[in-house]
Amino acid sequence: MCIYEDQIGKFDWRQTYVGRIKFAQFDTVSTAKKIIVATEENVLAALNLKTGQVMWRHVFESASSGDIQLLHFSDGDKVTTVTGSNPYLVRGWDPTTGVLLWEWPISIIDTERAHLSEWWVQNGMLVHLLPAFGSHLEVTMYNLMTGSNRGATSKLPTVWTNDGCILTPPYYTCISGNMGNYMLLSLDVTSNAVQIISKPLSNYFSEGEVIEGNLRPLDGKTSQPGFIIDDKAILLIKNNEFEPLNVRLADQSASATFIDAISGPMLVQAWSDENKGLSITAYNIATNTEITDMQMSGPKINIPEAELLGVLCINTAREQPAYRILLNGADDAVHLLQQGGRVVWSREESLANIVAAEFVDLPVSETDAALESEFDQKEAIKVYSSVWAAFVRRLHTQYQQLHTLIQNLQGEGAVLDTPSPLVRDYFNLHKIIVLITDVGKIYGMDNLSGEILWQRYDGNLNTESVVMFTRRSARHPPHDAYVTIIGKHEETGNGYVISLNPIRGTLVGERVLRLDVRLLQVALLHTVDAEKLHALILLDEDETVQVLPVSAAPLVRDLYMYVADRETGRMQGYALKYDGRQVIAQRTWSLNLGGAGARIVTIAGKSRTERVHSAGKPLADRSVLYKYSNPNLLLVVLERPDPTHKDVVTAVAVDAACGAVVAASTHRRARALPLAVHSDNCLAYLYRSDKHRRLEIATMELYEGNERWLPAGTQFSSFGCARAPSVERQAYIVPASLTALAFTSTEKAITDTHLLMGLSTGMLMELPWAYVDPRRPMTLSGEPREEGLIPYAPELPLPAEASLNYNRTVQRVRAIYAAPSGLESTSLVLATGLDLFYTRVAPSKTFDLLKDDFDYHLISIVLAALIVATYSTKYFASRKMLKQAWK
Amino acid sequence: MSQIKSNKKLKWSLDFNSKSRSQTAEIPSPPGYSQSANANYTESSKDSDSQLLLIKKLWDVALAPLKQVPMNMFIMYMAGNSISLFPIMMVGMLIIRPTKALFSTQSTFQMVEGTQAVGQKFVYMIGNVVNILLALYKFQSMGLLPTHSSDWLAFEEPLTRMEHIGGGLSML
Amino acid sequence: MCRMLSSIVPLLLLAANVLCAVNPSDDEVGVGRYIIEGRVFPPENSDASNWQIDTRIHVNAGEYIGFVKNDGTFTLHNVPSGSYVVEIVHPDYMYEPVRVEINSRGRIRARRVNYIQTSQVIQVPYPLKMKAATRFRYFQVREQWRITDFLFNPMVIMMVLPLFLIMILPKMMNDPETKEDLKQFGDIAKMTEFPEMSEYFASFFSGGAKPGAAKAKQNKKRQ
Repeated sequence: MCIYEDQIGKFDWRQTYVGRIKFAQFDTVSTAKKIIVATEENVLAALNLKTGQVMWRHVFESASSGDIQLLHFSDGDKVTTVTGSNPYLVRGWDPTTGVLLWEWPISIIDTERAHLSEWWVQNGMLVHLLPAFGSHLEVTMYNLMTGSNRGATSKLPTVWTNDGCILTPPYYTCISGNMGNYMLLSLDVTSNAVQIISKPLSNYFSEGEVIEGNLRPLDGKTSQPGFIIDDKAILLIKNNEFEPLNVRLADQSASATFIDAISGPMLVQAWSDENKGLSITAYNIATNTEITDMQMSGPKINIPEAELLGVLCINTAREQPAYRILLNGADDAVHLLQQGGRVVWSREESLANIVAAEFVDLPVSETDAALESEFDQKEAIKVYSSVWAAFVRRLHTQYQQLHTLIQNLQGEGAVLDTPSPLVRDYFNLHKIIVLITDVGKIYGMDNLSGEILWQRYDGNLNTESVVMFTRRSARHPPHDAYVTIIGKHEETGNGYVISLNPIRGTLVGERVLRLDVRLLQVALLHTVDAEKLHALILLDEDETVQVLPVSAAPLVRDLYMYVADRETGRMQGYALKYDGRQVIAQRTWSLNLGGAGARIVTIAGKSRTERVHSAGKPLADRSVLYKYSNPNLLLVVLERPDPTHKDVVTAVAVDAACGAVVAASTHRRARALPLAVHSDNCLAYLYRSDKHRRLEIATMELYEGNERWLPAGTQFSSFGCARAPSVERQAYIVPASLTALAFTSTEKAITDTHLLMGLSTGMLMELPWAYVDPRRPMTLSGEPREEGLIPYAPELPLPAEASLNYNRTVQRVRAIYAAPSGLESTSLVLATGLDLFYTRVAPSKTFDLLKDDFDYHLISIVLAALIVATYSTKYFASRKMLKQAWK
Repeated sequence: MSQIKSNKKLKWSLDFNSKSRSQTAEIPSPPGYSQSANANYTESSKDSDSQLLLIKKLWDVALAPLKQVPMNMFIMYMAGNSISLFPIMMVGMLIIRPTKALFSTQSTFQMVEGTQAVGQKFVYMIGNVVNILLALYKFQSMGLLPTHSSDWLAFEEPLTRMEHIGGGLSML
Repeated sequence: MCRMLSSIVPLLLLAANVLCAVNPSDDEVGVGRYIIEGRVFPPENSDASNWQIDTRIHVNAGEYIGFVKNDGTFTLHNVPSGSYVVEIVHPDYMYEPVRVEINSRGRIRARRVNYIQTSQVIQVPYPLKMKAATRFRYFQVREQWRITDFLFNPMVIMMVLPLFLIMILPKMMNDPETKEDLKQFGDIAKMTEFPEMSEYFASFFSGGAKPGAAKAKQNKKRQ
């Protein structure tokens, strides 16, 4: 949608993320002190040391060919990365600007064992180690900048290697031997002479301690090679000898790193505990003392499973050096702490992987709530029996309103001490977005500013196929809003239900519920109970039904569920009935869609809050083409391999209540994309045509015809009509590659629906449905022209003006969520992916608002001038008439 | 001003009328002329004449709407079928004038006492009705009359749904 | 010419470097890995010094991602044979995408992308030279209010002009001299115009010339 240049930033914002940090290196040599990070999301970025903002960022491929295997940066040198998974690419970057300096590929011939490769950089050479467990190690050294190698790969015979070995550059350390007779062996793989350090493991443990023989490397970039045995003893390798440290690991889950501080070599440990919170200790190895100013224990800082990424020692003007500690948490958040425990900045990197999002209305203010309850007829009849009582109540509320108005006017100059509570604004544009991330962290975000209002981390939540329902909105005071999240328990795979208040983030109602069965599907009951709460219906894997809350079981009626199996293409429908005691799910229909070997790519249903505004489209001859609006319709897109045509894509429109196939389409030599949208009677899905090597979008519209099948105002029943609607189909070429697709949605569905598309280049496009309308005529003449149909063109136009995020690209768009706002013309849009982008979209322009540049001044001046002119002319005319009469 | 004008007239015209009025009374009447008879005759003729004139005038008024029909047709033709300012103004005028005239038939015909009043009123009404029909035809050709189903589309109540669905891909 | 040379020399050096590293992979059995290389030219009037960092090369919509070096050259390694759409992604400038086809023998051909006529071949020089086509125009220009819009609006002319005339003309009429002038002017106009027209027509139709003139004169008198 075209916007004006002065509207940038008024109602949109973008947040950039990098992902869970894998490797981090401090850069203190350049003028702007930064941290170079490489993340699990295949992103190489530089974060500002002071603020944590992203200075530059490079996003690699999201497939395994973009996995970052090594990040190397030494002071003054360039940043080196090794990316890929056979073949690999070695790239060098400039740390200040982030520009690519050099790049060369490596291919490993042995493809099966290639994933065991280890990489590190030493003396300007890139060393590649490929272990063959139980026999030998293959070491190749390449010139870091040019990629030329000395020619041969050296093979070091090591019979003692196993899969528990770790690399502590340049030593390769293993524990081998039998139980009770463990040997600790280590080898410097880069030296010309093959020198193995071998010591029995019991040397480093006291008598009676159980030795399990687990090796763990030190975290971060250690200045000396070292490792941890059995989560207890810490050993360093110095001068070809094992050197045990006097201090032991403070906690079993602690993460330790070894740095060369100004005062000497230092061992830093960090661990987090449920009760004590985060704890950090530092130990000076040379003097064998503990450094007290690093020690901290902060129960307020909540970092689950803290992991040290790096520790930096800064020389300050004062005597004592300052330390910066970079910590990673299990919730993917990264924090930079100062010595003493103060958090300098933290980044919520789990937002780079959002799985589900929902917009939640804010509650109304108290005065508005009082107004609404007063005018709610049912309540009023209960409380007030006479007219006089209602009148007195009206006077009372009016007095209250006057009071607040005067207070507001008086208090405008005063400073707001307390932050204003979250209250719905007049146009209901201010909402809270509840976000569920892949790692199991739930956020509540303010949609206008993008700041995080509350967060909750639950490590047990497996978000593989997580579903979120708004069971009660904030429109029913005094009841709070209620959101339920259903996922799987991380370990057992059983159902895991979390219910919380989306405004404050606190647990309500059922709180955290652990089920003892695995769930097949869940549904929300359409009727509300006495507390205006929608009940939750859980269908287990053995087809028994649980209803939450249990008291809502008698309300279950007219509910039908369906479960689709992704791998086989089978769909099974159930009818839920309450038989007096409990709710039973009865199998009703089953479909085997797509043919043999088909698998379901995606299912698109209608959104719960969707409304149909008009029953049909008026044609040019003023008759109506009635739409087939089936609220129980689903679009199922399947794909199956075929011997003659490489792949066949089938799209089926199924009625989920009775299992009837309403419409279907097939495309040969095509592969389906998991993007399909469905709204009202319009269906659209994408597929890649292998024949023409392009992306195509196919749209279907379902119509009843010129006569209504059922008279207006009656009830639509899926079991009632046995007629098939007429289908209009068309396919168009999309001249770009899409990664996300969604429809705009509004409250009353009066505005047009536009397609929101996320391109692979990072642009978000808005395309009017008129361009993908299947009724676009071939020739433009007479009647079709009057209806406003655009003549058919095979390629869709994607002009730059249709982009929502102008030049603020969103990398790797994963999903687009659109929600209605209080204004009928506006839809709120959130695009998630590696970055977050939020904006407002007005598909039919803002027809219910005055335009932004409304000329208040001009109109008021003209109006005033005209009024003055009118009165003065009246005066002068009367004077003139009087004069004339006197002549 | 008038004084000057009269002066100018007197300057260049010869006024054959003498100023004194007494002379007119002295002139004898011609033979066979009786003053009384004349007066009666003129009065009666005046009455019948005025009656006739009145009826004629009223018939003119009654037929006026029918005379307007060709002019209205021409205006309709000129206005065109699009919806913009001039056509709307013209068509609005076309329908408001006859309707107003219909409502004010009583006041236009209040002078009538004669027998032809009913006929005249009838013709007047017919004429106005014809004008109104013309205006309605114009409305119809412009597409403003809600005669087709698409005009009542906005008032049709939406269908309510009987069954509700839930579910999706298997969560196992 | 110098520019071409200066762009070829680093390319050659790069190619030399790259080929050395690529050689081991040629011995592989099965999939051969090739490189796609080219050069990106920044737009002429760009003042952004760090355009290289914002530029990315997407092959087949992110299947392979390449980056540009300081001089604008880029290389994409480890690309198997097939047909690819190479597009330069920059938030501010639009580049035309190119379809690069690598056949199983390693021959690389670059042609324009045409989604409608997919077999059309308009060759594009390889190694690729991508020049910025246009700057993205993301915004609509706000409608400016100009005084001419107001003055030349037909509604305004139709209402204001008669108002003008109504107010000014009576004033002009009241003045006796202008009244006489107008009268004379009107007479002269009528007298000069009509006889001319009628005389012209009379002479044209040769016959009935005199009666026509006489009729006109009679009409005048009646007025």
